[in-house]
Amino acid sequence: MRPALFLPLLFFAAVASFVLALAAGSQGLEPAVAWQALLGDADSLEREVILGLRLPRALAAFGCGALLALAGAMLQALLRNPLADPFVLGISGGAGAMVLLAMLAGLSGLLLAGAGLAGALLSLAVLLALAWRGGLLPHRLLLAGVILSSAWGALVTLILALAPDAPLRGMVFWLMGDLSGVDPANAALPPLAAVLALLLAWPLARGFDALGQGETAARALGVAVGRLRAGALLLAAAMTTLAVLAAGSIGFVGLVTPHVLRLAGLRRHRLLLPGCVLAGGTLLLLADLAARTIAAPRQLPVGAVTAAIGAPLFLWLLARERR
Amino acid sequence: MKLATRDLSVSIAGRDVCRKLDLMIEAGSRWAILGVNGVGKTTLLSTLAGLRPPRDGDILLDGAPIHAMAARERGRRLGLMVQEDRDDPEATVREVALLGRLPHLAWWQAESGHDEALARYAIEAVGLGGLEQRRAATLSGGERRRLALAALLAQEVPLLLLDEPTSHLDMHQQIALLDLLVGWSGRTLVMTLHEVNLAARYCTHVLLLFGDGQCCAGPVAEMLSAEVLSRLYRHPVSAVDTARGIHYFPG
Repeated sequence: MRPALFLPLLFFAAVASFVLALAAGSQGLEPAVAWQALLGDADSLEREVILGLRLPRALAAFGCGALLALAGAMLQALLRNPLADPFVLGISGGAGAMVLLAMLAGLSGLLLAGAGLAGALLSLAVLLALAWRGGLLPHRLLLAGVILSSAWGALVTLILALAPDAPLRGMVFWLMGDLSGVDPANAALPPLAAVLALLLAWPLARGFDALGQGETAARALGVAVGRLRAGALLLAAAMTTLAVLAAGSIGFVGLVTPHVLRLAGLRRHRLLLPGCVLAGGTLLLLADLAARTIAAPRQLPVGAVTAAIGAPLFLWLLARERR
Repeated sequence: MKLATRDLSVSIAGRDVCRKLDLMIEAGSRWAILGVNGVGKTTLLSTLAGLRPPRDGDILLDGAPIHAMAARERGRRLGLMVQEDRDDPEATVREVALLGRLPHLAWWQAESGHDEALARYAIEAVGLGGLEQRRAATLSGGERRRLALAALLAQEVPLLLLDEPTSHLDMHQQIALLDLLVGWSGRTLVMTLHEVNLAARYCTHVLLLFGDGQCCAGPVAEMLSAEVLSRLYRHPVSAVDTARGIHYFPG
């Protein structure tokens, strides 16, 4: 199959999973009813469940998955490392810890977002400082990421230990990656941001392809590598922060999605990047659907679901890596 | 396409590669840069390609300073083959060759049929026809060198800078690759080489780097001699006159 044909396929998968996510739940609805509720002719309870609860959550899930997968694909290209991902490298850990700290300090809104971005950028700066020796050294990068993640984890544990009891359960759930607390008023933000990020990243796609041949070769082909790297790292950090703010720290979507798509033949970034938005969004939407239906009426944090799928996959990829 | 340097001084890690170098690389000429390992051949080549600022002096591409040129514009005029092939483990032969079209395409443009045809022709020309869908990382060292050359060919640039184009190649493949390079009429070549006899056979000019910033340049016939090469390689070199010209070997 031609790689370009995957994109319409992924689009239909995304639409189908949306319909499924709106219809399924503790109050099961026929997909046709869900569709009618969306269009505005269904009774008010069903409308309330779908528009007030499930649609915002589905939008946020899709958006966060899209942001994380896009950030993962960009980091993998920039750092020339197939194991790069905002979660593995401690970038989302940094954003999460700083957001938690800011919450504890009583900050909200944009200040909270600013704190998260600062945490993500700080992580990136530390990673580059430790792994850059005239070029990125992949093993140092992963090692630094692991250590950074555990350092942020320690800070988070400290914050949780000192936090008052009342918000503790919510904080823990948010940290594990949780979409149940999505604010309906802001639910459209992650998918809109994902589309915007794609529009910003897509013009860089051929530059990412060229980086696969090494930095010198890319520069000789006319790619402004320094500018590309700075811009794309900043964009990846901002996308990670937004996903963390909306849904906490969700792992492995950013790692696994680009890999699966590359295996399916979407190797060139002009196709891979839009593919990541569609597939990453669909993946997290379905993972969230599983999280809220598997143990119903109890809800699992979606981060636990993605980790249960993603961790073995990560280990498999690591084992496959020969160089 | 003419490449010239004026008072060019290049240094790396506090060591001089060349001092006050004036070069005039005319269109269609073929240059070899010779010198011992570590003398700075690669550094000089990437400086000439505009990827590294010189310590002093100017590099002019058709009269215009190369460092003031936009990166894409530079990519349409000269191509560089780097010494190590660091292929993306996933990319196919076709995808690597198509990357040569990058400087010619705006970000919104997809590769046209013309671009695809050029890449296909380039792959055929270097003898990799039929391997388009193979992953580049699974090719042998020699095949990867030829793939790098195919990408350069697809780039359609009049000036080619090549860093050790014959490394990893056996004797037959060295000759085949250089024959191919020289056969592309009108292109200007500047390459670093380890094998002085290949330089003598295929190049019109040489640039000799002696270390400590000493260098000299000129036509092959005037520059190469057993005495000069002994000094260049810090090892006695002898010359023997054969039917195919003078050959040099370590004494």
